[in-house]
Amino acid sequence: MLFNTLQFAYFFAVILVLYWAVWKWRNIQNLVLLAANFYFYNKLHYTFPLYLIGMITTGYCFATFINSQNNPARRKAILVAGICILGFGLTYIKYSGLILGSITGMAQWQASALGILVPLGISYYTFASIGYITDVYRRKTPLEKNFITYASYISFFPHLLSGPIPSSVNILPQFSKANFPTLAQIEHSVGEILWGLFKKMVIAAHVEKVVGYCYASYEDQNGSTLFLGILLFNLYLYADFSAYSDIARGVGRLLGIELAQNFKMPFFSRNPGEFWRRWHTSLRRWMLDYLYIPLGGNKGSTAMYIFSLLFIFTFSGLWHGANMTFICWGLLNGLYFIPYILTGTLTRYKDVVAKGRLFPSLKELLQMSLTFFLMTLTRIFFRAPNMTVAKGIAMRIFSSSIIAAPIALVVKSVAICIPMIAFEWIQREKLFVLQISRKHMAVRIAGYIVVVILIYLLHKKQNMSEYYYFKF
Amino acid sequence: MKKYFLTPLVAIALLSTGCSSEEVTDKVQQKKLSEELAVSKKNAAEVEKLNELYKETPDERILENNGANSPLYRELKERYKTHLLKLKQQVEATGAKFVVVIISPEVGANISLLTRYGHPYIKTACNEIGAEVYDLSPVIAAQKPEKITQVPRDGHWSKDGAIFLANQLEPIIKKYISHKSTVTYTSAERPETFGDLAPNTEEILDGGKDLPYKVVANAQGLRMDHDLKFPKTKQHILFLGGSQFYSPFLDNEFISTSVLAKRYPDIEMINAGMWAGCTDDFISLWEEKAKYSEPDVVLLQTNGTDITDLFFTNRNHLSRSKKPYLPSPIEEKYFMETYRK
Repeated sequence: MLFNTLQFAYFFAVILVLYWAVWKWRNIQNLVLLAANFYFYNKLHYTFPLYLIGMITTGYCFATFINSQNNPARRKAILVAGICILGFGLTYIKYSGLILGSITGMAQWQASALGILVPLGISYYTFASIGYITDVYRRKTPLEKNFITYASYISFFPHLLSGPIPSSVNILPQFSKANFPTLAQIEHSVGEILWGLFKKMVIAAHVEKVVGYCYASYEDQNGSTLFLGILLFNLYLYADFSAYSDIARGVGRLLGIELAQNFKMPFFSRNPGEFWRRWHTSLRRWMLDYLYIPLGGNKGSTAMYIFSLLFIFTFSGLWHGANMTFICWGLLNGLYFIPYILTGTLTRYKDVVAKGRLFPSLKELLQMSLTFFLMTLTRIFFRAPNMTVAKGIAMRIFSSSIIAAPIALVVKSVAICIPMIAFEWIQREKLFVLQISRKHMAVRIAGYIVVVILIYLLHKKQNMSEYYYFKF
Repeated sequence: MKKYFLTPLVAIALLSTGCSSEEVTDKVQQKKLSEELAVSKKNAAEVEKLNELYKETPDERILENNGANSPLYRELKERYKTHLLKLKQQVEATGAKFVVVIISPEVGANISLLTRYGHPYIKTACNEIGAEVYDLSPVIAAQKPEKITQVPRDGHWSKDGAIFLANQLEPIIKKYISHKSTVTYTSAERPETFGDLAPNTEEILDGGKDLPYKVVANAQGLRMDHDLKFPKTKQHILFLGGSQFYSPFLDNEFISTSVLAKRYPDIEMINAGMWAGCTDDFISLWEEKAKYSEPDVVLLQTNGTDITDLFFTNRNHLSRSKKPYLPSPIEEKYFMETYRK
């Protein structure tokens, strides 16, 4: 059941009515939510809820066990055991097939070594569970004694399949109180959902096949076509993944749950550090909280700092898949940080670029272009099925054929993405493009209607492909 | 003064005469169109009804349990032969050469029942109706699947496979290199398109198999990068057939007809291949569109699937004409015995 389907619209409409019909009873609301979550997950495959139940129960038991202990060493031992069990479950189910596949040469990311289907979203809810038991251990979050509340939080259908990975500190408490959305919040949600649908159904749907074509036929393409192909993949990935996050946030808010903002206009970043503060922020936060800071963060020597970052990025690569291409993708991202660390400019840009101005300065433009270019290059590894393909694409891009004319379809597809970038640039100081709640009512209504019409007229028919990040 | 009044009056009269004659033509065309629309709506409703009543399409199942000797298969074979004969007669009526080429994608030892029983019959039928036939399936079956097809993802041609197919077709093309048809059509007679693809399009398709490929259709709805020009100055060879000519999962430049076009720049290799088509569809495409491309030679690609594809449920689900196909008593009996027991 994809967000951009009528099936989901009907499902959500029913849940919304039921959920708010019992708004006075939070526990019953959570029961409704839990039933909805499992119904939603079960629609993908009947075996998937079993894994989810396993993860929820394991997380709940370990958190309760940790909370019952006062001895720090015991608490730590239980935490380590909990992380190991949850981590082993994820590793075995998700990666055994990939490891076996890389040995046997058969691509089988969707199946584990047991031949079972890898449940969609397993990485997300495993990370959420690990985060929760760690937060209980650190006493950053109180133990959630109510199993239904905890289960509703982990399995919450808007973030179940592709995040944003929830933080128990901010999100879990929301499941214990009634948050009736205000009119302004409802409008905010509608705007976010509409913009998400536009990105998925118009932009991502139109360019998806062209991206696939560029990677699949790389041997027949020249350097310029392939460069535009990876650039297009960068844009596609953003349109697809941020669309999911936007819709998830909008849907979540309508249910009174404010999820984390996963994307903050990342293409207007002036260095890789800023990019990663704006791209898939919930994964970044998770990595920082549960890996980077325990590793020492930037407290030690520069060498240790660089080592930690490289480790984090390699781990991030492995989270995406047990494939050499993802390791290279992670390492390349980590290597990009080194010059900025050495020059002390990595964390320089915290505010939005060209604030209060329509156009950026030349310096800002060059910085954004360089960052975009560097991030685009990493996409060679992110999408290539293996290192042979990645190498082939890179060789062609860095050859004389980069000056040859690209194929028209790729140019046309890049052009399709330009309005998305242009709108985001104009609205870059906002959370998302359709955050226009301060405008006059007529302008707002016109804005929403225009987007609805654009989606209706321009959406790609017969395109019901999954969101790209489901596979991770 | 009078002429100032008369001039506009005359002009109005002339314009209205012109308009009225145009209106008459428009009305005739509109009437024809609305009649056609009514028929197609009626057909669509009937097809939908039939598809609800008869959902299943048996394909190879027809041949299981000694099905090759069944009355149903005999009936389908007879229907197939009638189609071949009809197409042959229509093609030869234009003075073009009609050649049947049996091309089956089956590679290696796993020959299906469709091929085992279908191909000998196709050759027999061709001999009976006097059509020239070339069976390429034995030479295809002897190839390595991983070289000439896209296995394990799909059984259609790989780039090497398309070259291989072009090599097999080349001697046939050479044999009729000087053959000319006798019929030409005026531009008023010619339809806008000769093939079923959306004209002037360039798009990426993947058939749901993660094997993206680029399809370019010319202004005439054919899988070609350029338009055919009339009056023709080159020999036209029409490749009429199913997916073996259409070649899914390959860009235009790699399909067998493009390979041949490069080898024979003085011949127009017209690719009217249609995915999932059978003889019934080839006839309708020929009658409605393809014959107007004025081919001198028509290569009809066929295989055993084309016989079982004539079962009425298959037609109702897949035919390009979208007209309803009612079951014969034998088909009805088979359907009820197989699916409604």
